Amino acid sequence: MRFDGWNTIEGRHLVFIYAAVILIQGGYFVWVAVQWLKLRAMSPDVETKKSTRPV
Amino acid sequence: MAQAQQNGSTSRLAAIFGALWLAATLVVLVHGFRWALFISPKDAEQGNIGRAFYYHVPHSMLSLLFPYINLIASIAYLYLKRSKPAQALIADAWALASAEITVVYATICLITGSLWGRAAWGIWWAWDARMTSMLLLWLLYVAYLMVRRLSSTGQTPTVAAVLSVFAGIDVPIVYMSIRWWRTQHPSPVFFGGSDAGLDPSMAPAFYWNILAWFMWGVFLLGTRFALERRRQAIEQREIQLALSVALDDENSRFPSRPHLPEAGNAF
Repeated sequence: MRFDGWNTIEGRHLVFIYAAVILIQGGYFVWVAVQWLKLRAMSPDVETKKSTRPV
Repeated sequence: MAQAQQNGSTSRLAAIFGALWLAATLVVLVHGFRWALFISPKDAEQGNIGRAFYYHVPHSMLSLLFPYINLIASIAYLYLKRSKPAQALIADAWALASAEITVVYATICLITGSLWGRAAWGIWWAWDARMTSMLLLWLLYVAYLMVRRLSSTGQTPTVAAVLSVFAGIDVPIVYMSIRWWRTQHPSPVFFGGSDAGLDPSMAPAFYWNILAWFMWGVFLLGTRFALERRRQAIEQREIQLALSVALDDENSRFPSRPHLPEAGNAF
């Protein structure tokens, strides 16, 4: 692919389109991952694992 | 104890499967990206901005698929909520996860469509049948998520499920809009009659990208579902703890009265 260049509206908007997709999908994934880590800290599984660990 | 061990091994298996799925998805995403930007030829009429097709169209198509998961899960929730509350909670988790994925995909569809429209037609937006019905779908799912987040009554999942049925009605309207009304948006590429179809040189880039974004959507859906189930489990545990404390307090204050039963596990 020969890039049209930042100075043309086509080139600029193509970059914006791909960037928007990556940012929105990536942003949502990061949000889910952060919520997952937050919940993991207070999950019942964590307590179970701690309490059943052999001394 | 055996149940806990079984749950632990099941979640470990799910985590391994999820990691393998994610790895495969990333490979397909990179391959699709390479096809879209570097291998597929430039569009004869639009030039390089035509490459927006490989990301805009898969997201648009998938944003009409995930609402059906939401619709089925919401109907299942409404059907099961009295007879089988534990299964209804599972359906509710699927409904929430699929609604969020729908909003993500529909947001991308609207933003990329607007950017593409500005470069190709010279306008950001037109109150065209397809765009307006798609905006309405997005608004309905945003409203769905806001109801779920901001309402704190016990009836929130029920209200959201009813809203999701209304949103589900908009999906076939969005799909058919470019067939029923010919306005600004281009005519359908797939299932659009004799003039429709994809040029063979564009097919691999398109199919790789729709597969990639479908796999990514399934991964997000599964992860969000697992997250919501975990949140439900924690909420259930907190309710049980609060009930046990209240019942213990009640029983200790009135020792002569017959003791109230312990809080059961409805999860």
